[in-house]
Amino acid sequence: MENREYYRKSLFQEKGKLSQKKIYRVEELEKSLNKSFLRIVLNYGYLSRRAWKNILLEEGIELYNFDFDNLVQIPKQEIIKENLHKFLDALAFPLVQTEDYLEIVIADPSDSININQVEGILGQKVDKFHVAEDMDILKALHITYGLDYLDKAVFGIYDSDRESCAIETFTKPQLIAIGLTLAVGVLFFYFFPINTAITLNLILNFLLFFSISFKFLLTLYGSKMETARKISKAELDAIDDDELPFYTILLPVFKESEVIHKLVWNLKNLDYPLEKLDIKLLIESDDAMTYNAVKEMDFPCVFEPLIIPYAQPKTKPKACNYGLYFSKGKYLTIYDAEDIPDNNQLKMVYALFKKISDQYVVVQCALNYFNKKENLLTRLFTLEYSYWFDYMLPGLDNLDVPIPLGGTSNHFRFDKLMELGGWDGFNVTEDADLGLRAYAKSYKVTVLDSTTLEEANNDFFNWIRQRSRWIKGYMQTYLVHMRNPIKLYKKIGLKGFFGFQFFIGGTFFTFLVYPILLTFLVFILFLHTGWLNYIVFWNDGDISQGLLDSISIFFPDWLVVVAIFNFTVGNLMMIYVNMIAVFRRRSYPLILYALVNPFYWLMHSISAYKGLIQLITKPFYWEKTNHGLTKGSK
Amino acid sequence: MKKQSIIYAICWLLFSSAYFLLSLWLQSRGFYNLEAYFIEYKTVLISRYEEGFLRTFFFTKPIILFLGSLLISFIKQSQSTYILNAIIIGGLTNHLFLKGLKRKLSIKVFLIYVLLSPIIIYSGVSGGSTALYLIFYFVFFTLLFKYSKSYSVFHLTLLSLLLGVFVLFDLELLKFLLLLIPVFFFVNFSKAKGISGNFYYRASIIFSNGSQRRKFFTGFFSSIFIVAFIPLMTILIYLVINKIFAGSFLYFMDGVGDQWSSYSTLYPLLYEDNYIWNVIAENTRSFIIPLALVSCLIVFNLFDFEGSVAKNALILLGILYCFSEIAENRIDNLNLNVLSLITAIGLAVVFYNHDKEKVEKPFKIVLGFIIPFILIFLEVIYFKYSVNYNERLYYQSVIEKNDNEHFTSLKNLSSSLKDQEKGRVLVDDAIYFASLTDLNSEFTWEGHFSPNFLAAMQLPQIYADYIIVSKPAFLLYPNDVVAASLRRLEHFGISLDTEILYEDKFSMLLKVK
Repeated sequence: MENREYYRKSLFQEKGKLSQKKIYRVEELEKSLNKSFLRIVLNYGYLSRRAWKNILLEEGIELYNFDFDNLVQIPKQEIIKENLHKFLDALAFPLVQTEDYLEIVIADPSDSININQVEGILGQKVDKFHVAEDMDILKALHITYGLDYLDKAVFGIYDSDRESCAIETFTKPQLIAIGLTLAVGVLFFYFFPINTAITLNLILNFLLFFSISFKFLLTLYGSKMETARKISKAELDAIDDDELPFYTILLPVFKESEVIHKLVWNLKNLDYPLEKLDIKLLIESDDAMTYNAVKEMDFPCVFEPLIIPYAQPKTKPKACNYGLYFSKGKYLTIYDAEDIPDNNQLKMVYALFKKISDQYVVVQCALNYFNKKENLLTRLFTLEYSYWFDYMLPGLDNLDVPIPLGGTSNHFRFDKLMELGGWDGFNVTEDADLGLRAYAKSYKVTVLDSTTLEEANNDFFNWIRQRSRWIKGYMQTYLVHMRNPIKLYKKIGLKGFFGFQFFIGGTFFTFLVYPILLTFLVFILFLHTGWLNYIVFWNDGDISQGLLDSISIFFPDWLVVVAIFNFTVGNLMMIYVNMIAVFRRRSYPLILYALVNPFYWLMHSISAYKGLIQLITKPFYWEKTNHGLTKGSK
Repeated sequence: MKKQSIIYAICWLLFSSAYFLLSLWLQSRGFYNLEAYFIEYKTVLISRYEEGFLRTFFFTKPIILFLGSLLISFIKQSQSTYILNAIIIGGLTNHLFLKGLKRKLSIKVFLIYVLLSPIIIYSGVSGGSTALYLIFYFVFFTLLFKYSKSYSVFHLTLLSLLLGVFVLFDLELLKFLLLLIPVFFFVNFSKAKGISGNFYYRASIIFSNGSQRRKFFTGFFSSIFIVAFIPLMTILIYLVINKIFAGSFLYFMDGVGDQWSSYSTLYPLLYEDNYIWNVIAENTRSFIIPLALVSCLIVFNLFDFEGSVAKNALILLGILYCFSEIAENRIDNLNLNVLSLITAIGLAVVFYNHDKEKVEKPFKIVLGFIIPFILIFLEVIYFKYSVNYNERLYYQSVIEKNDNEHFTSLKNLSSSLKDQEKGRVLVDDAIYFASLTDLNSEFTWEGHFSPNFLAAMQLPQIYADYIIVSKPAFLLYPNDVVAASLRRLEHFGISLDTEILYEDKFSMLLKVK
């Protein structure tokens, strides 16, 4: 318990070495932003958390240690829930409260305003206070009183629009439809085995080819966009800092202590007034690694930690949804911790939002990688992202069909995002799902030629984990929106419907079908070579021909020709789109790596099958991608 | 938007109809094109024999003309290539016309040229492959002009796609890749980031700095690689398909099917025409005259500077390309399939969007009115004296009604056969395809694609009811394998009991008893 009086001058100016000028500036911000002094000092780059902790210790203050597992709500819990934002701002946690006794924990013992505020809200005098680190107080407040917000974050979509929630993977009608299709297929196989096999093969080949061709045409269409810039330099230069609105940046992290330092550096490079940025670092309450890393940071940071109370499913959308309730920007975006956005990206987005109609609620910026030359995998990943964000999404944009949002660098109009209900916490590609939901509500999504550099996955198994989640998410999204195909068609129109089928459905479909058809084809071509006869040397007969004769009943020569054409043209198209994408970015040395793309597709197929199995066994499981593995830098 | 689309579609339809009606009028005055018959014959063949589909489909040169015609082969009122040409050139005229109407006066007057140019009209009505060549050249140079300004991957990809598609039309078009090399070289100077100033300054900075030099050359070679990728891969796929169908990658180059097709189109078109031989035998530079006659439009454009060095460089490149092509092979290339390149460049330059439309001087406006008429006049002269038979026939058919002896013979054979009972015809269809196109489907013939062709030539009395055979007066008599086989039978003393149903100076129709 603290009975002494503490003074701001002593703590911040003398011990914290903050100049008088800085203190004035913080006090100015305190008024304009309506935030407590300590929050501004710690979250706007004036003092590091470790330094603040040392000041308190030097001052002889014994820091209060919370027993987070046994925190209880006080009798006046409803008042605190109603005023949670104020308590978070005051960095004050009411520990014990009876009718005539109030004991609290605060972070800044020199700021009597905070104590007065608590007294005002609870209507009783503070009898006793402890001092603790701000992070601990934040955590205590969120896990004790943030549960209503947490419930909304998890079940918001389920409560408001049950049909759009991925909580149920397969609906009953979908299961019946799948079952019926399988049953009819089996019956056809039983009665007309040859024709059924040929027809099935032909359909799969046709769909695969059509899906790839669609992507190729999209790419071509998207490449048109490069001839026109959406925001010119003159438009950008004309922006006055005073007119800029508050901008929220959500930074969901999980066990990413390694990249926190980089994160601060990248955020500092943003060309946007710091006081107009509302940066939230979303830390899971059970993520001790990141939590401690932030607590122990020995240099000033420019973000505000926000502790997400524990709840299943432990997904990024849930964390972001929770963060929404504590955001105040007019616009909002999400970055990953290791992201390096173009420094003028926020201003560009602001200029674009000003330019386009209110119908547009999201702007998706391009993603690319800073560690592209690290190994083969990062090169291939760069090729893929380049064509996806530089050509495919602009292609969808030009065609005015639903755009599945990318994982980060999607910028929202905050009010519209809230109207849409945020992200679906049960969907593992919540971003793609949100893009479609926005479109279904007659809103539009557009893309912007500004790039955020991310860290490309440089580890095979890590890549498979990440990709399996993405593909599983696409399957989830497809199943959710196809619960009622007619309704979907009515909502998004014919163009949107076909775009959805080929872009979302076609993506996982091609990855699932590709290895099956390829195996058949390779096996038949292998038999044509006659090498099997040499392998089975103990048999004098022409085994290859024998097998070919048997198989050719189900796989006649003309079908082999169709399959070869399909695979050759399909692969070449995909190789080409990869090539032109990196050519545009002038990453010329990567062009030849596009030739390896067919093998990269096989990796996708492995992930697709993993995703499919998980879709059935663990639909909401979030396959965590490890970041910070790269040794490369921009 | 919708209204504009409707106007666009209606205008296209009107232009195409005009070209088509004109082609019918010309045909009624004796104009014909064996290339159109050849494509028509392929369409007939496609379903006639087992595996006919695959063999005809792939071993047809030019494949795009064939595929396009195949799509509209359900229209029986005319040979489908005439309709296809009318649609294609109708589209081009419509595009230029609607685009030209929005431009300044001196460009508007060029619409007179677009509407009345004998070369454009010939492409639209001749039923051959000139229309596709003209379209290819026009699109290619339009894209090239755009690329030289935008440096965009979009235009580069379209160039690659265009070459990739048209390489199936004519393998020789791959040469246009070479034409792109200097373009990429110079464009890369302008693409360099962080260097501003004139061309020489940029070049000096790039070549004096190691990093810039490296970027310059990787960018340059990458551009070539990107643009060459689709055409080369198209050829690869084509080779793979050949391998699958015929067991040999180069089957389409040395297979029977290809020999048949090249021999069929070329011989009747060129080798019956002595005029061309005279021109070639002169061994002078007189072949430049036709080139000069069609080049007036781009020469005019060359001096109408409009501040674009790139434009003039591309025009010169085009002229040099055309000149070298003709100089290399006058027999095959001294015709509009190559020379329409000049017309296409001219059109692309005139109708290419310039950023700033300058205020025009009166002199230029007056000149603008005169130029189209001069161009048309020179092109008329070109057609009058063309070394290509079909092009001359086009001119003659406009002037007066024509009657070609050889073609009349082919038509008479066909009509004589039609009057007979249905049966099997032994014929060298590489020569007589024009006669076979409009035969009733109940007639079958033993030709190059028939599995019994060899047997039929050995034993005509078993395999054939009728025989069509050429006579020594026919220039293709030495190439007629049926005539050769009959001579062989005669040589071995095997008599064939036949009755002559029709006979003229060139051919005979025999009935096997």
